[in-house]
Parts: sequence; C-alpha cells; structure tokens
Amino acid sequence: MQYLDFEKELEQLDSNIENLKNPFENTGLSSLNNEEIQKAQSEIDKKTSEIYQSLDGWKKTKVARHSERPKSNFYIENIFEHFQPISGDRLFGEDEAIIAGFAKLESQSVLVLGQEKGRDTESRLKRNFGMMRPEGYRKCIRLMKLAEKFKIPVITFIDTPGAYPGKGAEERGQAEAIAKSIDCCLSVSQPIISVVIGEGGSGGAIALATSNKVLMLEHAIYSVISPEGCASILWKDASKSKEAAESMQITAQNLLGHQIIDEIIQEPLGGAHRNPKEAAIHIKQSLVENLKSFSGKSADEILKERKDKFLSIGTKLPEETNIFNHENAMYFSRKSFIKNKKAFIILGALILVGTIMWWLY
Amino acid sequence: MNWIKDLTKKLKPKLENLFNKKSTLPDNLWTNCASCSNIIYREDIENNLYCCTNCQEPQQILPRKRFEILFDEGTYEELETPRLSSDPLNWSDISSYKDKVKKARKKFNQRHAALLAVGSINKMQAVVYCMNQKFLGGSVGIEEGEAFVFACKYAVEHNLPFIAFPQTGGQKMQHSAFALMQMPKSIIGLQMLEEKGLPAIIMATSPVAGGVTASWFYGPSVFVFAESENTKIMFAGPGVIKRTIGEDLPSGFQTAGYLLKKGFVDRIIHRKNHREELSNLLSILLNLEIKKAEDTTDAAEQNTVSPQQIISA
Repeated sequence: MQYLDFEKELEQLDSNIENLKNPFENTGLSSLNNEEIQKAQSEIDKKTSEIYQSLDGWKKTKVARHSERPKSNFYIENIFEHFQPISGDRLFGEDEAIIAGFAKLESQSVLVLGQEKGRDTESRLKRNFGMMRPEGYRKCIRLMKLAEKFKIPVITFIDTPGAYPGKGAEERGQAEAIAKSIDCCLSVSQPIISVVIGEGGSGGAIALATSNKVLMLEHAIYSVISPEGCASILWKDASKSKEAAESMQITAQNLLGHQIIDEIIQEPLGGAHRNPKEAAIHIKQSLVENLKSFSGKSADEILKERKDKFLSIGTKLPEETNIFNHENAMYFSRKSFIKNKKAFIILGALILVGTIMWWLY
Repeated sequence: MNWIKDLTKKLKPKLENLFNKKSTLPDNLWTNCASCSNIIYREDIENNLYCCTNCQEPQQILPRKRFEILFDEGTYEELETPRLSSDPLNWSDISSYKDKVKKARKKFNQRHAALLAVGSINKMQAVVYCMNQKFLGGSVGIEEGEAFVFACKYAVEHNLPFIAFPQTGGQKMQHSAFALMQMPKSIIGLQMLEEKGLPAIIMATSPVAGGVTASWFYGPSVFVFAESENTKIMFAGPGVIKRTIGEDLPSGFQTAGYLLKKGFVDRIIHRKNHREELSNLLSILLNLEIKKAEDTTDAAEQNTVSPQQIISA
C-alpha cells in the first residue's frame, strides 16, 4: 500500500497492527492478542474516517490520482457481465486509453466506455496514462451511434488527466474529435450515465461526460484545468497547486452544490483503493437505480432533459456573489473617494475659509 | 512674497491636472505589424481595414470596429445579452478577479468578452457574435457561453444566419467547472440552428485555443474559415505540448494555413473579402439571389430596418 503524505499516522498504525498480527514478532507470546488487535483496528478506522472526512481539494486530487485506486478496467470486470470489447475508429487506429464494448448490467444491455489510466508502468504506457487521442473519441462516437441503433443505454467511466496534447493528436484534429463527441453525446436518444471515478480532466472528460446523469465518487475531482496548470498560469507559480485546487472547487461535494453533477457515490472507508470491491458494489447499485429512473421515458424526453440540464447550469446564480464582503467594502470606499475628489477638496477649502473668517472676525 | 509665487507655480499644474481632463491626443501614432513587425502609421492601417499596409496581414481589432467594417454603412444593432454571474466562485489569486472584471468592463465598455450584433452584410441580415481577446484573454465563462446560446436562439427566432468570430484563450479558469460546462452548452446552441436549417459560419481570428476550439469552433454543421494563413488555431498551446511530451513544434504548426492542408479549415478568406464572400455564401446556402457588392452604396436607402433600431457606430 502506498501512503499519501497526509497519511503518515495511518502508516504507523498499520505497521503496528501488522506486528501484532505476526505471532513470531511478539517475544514470549505464542498466541495472538486479539483484544489488542481489535483495539488497534478500531483506532485505525477512527483515524481514517477522521482524515478522509476532512479532505480538501488538493488532498482529494492526490487520492483521485492514487496509483492503487481502482481504474475503469477493474470496474468493468466487477460490475458488468459478458463484456464484449470492441476496438478501432475505422479511420486511423485504435486508442487503448479507452476501453469500449457492450455488456450486461444485471439484465440490461449497455454500452460501456471507460477511460483507463493503467495500474503499473507497462499498462500505463500502453494506456497512454488515460490521455485519449482523436481516434479514441472517434471510436466512442462510432459506438454510441451503434448503441442508439440497438436502443442500448450508454455508461461512461471518466478518469483522465485530459486529452492528449501531442503533435500528432493536434494534426489529426483533437479539437474536432472532442467537439464531435460532445455533439454525439447530446444527440443520442438513449440515456447516458457518466461516473467520474478518479480525475475528470477538462475537455478530455466533458467529451464523454455530456450525459443525463453525472455521478461522482466521493473522492474524485472534476475540473477545467489541472490544479498545477492553473497555478502556473494564474499564480505564475506551480507550487501554488494547493491554493488553485481550493479556489477551483473541484471536489464532488463542491460540484454537487453547484448542481454541475447529479449524485455522489459513497466510497469505502479510507477511499476506493482500500476496498475496491466495495467501491464497485456501490457504483453498481447506483448505476442500476439510475438506469431504472429512465424506464418509460421517451427518446424526446431523454434528449430534452439532457439539453435543458446543460443549458441551465450556472444560470441561476446571483449576478454578483458576496458583493458586500470586506474587500469590496474597502474597494467601494476607495472608489467613492477618488470619484468625489473634487467635492472633498472644495469642502476642505470651504471649511478652511470658514475657519479663517471666524478667526479674523 | 516670492514663496507664494513659487508655491502657486508648483501647485498650479497639479490643480490643473486634477480639474482638467487628460489630453485627448492619441499617444501612439505608430504601430507594429504583428506579422512582419514593420512600423506602420496608425491612420494608414485604419484606412486599410486594420490590415498591415506592407504584408496585408489583418491586425487584431475590437468587436465594435469589426462590426463597423463588416456591416453595411457601418450600422448595426447591438444586442444586450443576459446578465449572469461574472464571478461565481468569488475568485482571488494574486489579485481579486472582481476588480479585474470591473477594470476590463470600464476599459472596453462591454460586459463580457463577447459582443453580439445584428445587421446586414451586403443586404444579407445576420446575427454576429464577436469576441475580444483583450478582455481578460477573451476567455469563455458563464456569460460568454450564455451569450452564444442567446445568439443562436435569436437567430432561430428571427430566421437569420449566424456568424461567429472567435478570438480567445479558451475556457475561463476562474469559473472552473462552470466554464467547462459552456462547451456542451454552446454546441446545443448550434444544434438549434442545425434543426432550423440555418447556416452557421465560424471565422477564426487569431488566436483560437482550448475549449472553444474543442466545442463550437468545430460544432455541428459549421463552416470553419480563417482570416489569414497565420491565424493561430489550436487545442493545446505549444507550452502545454512542450511540457507534456517535451517536443518542439515545427514552425507554422497550428496556423490556419497548416490546418487547411490537414483538412481542418474549410477556407481562408481575407478580411477585405469578408463582406462579399460571406454574403455570397449565405445567399447560396439560403437559396437567395446573390447581391453585387456595388449595391452597398444605396443599401441605406433601401434598408427596411427602422432607424430607431440602428445605432450609428
């Protein structure tokens, strides 16, 4: 298990319990001290829930990128049955950063599109760290059109740092592929459900997350640019990633508050990487329930619901937020002084003249 | 009483400054061409549709100037766009974002980076959405995205073709996920035009980058044109590419001329031919009679739009 920098205490506690569980470590004791182990375990659980309940945007970014966090491949294996993988965009090539295919979710046929980052060096290289090329998006477009033809709902797993920014990708129309993918998502008359399982990175994510329901795992993030990128552009200092992550409000909890996503899926204690199977069960339950909510809805209703949702995002906010905070109050007083400089000077002069007159007579 | 004289001498210019308006003389009579870096007299460039007199490269211009040179007689109606939040996350990095917005609004006399106008181009009525990169990088946030959809809706309601002039750095980081959501939103706008069978033209003006390139720039059924061969059109900027894959890009990469060869730009139309070529294309698409460019002289007399609607530019 790889521990994150804010999990030092957990690492210590975990190694303690390992010692307790090992009978050869304890001198003079041949049997395990079960009471002690239980006590230690409950302490770990308490500490873990404490840490994980108060994660900020930057810590969540680290959890979302955790190397042992379950990826699309794992969820596809553990949630669906009879998965039939399909590759290629029929135009240029196959993009292994996205796993695609038809499958059964309980009794329901679905199309699954999962962005895959890979879990070790070899698979990460093969999957291009989850960064899709234009071929990947074109493969998805091809398959979504097939799904529409067979009246099969679409499920997408989002986990990408962003679309691949390479020379070849630009030449082959990365931007065009993403735009067409969004367009395709908006025109499929079957329900589309997206689950952000790790990192939802910018255009690379929205290309497959323009869906009827956007679900997010508790410790996943979703943003317009990586915190590092934002920090280096706006703060001109890449080390300000923590501030950028906080300001951008990229956590599932923030986004649910802004009504940009529809639901948060609970993760097991201490994040999905501590109990991947349980995380898969939670996702499966949520997917089944959400799919059920579309039964009986007509194609037009599904299309309209999706469009209306995206059209309304951000339109219900007040025109100016928190206009009377402290900073603004300062700003207004400063501004009113500058504006009325003349009036202030004339007033001052009048008072001066008045005082002189009073003093003379 | 010499000291009084000295004092008045010192104070006089300061008082004058305080009470008088600043001098109205333009401080820069000369300007540099962005392409050939020749120094050109500002008046010459203004008489040349803001194109370099030496290499004919179109220079970056503000939306209202573009409207002036695009529409017949320079008359158009500016549409007011919906007022939404300009700072949903109460953003503050090195400085407060609200202050920046206020300054930019004052400087350019526009509410956000995009301006919307209706007018006729060679008597061909059209809705035009034009962006201003100098307004905080021309980045697309909630208001710019809403303005785009508003423009599409307006075009659908009034049965008019739609032309957009993107000039932007991409999505607005200060709006975070809200900015990202403008990508699907703007595509929905273009889908409305598509359903109604109305043409949409995107005319790239340098630079176009990021989320805009990956959404409405290549939206459904749009024509993608560029103003010049050197117009920068990209998804990821050269800096991002260098950082991610450590590759230097060949010169001329991510320009409209290059993309034309790669099949991602339909055509390059120089600013001087915008009026004629755009109106001709729209007339062909809408199956209308093509009007000759010379007719523009008496366009004002025949114009059916009531004078109250026209705001003189």
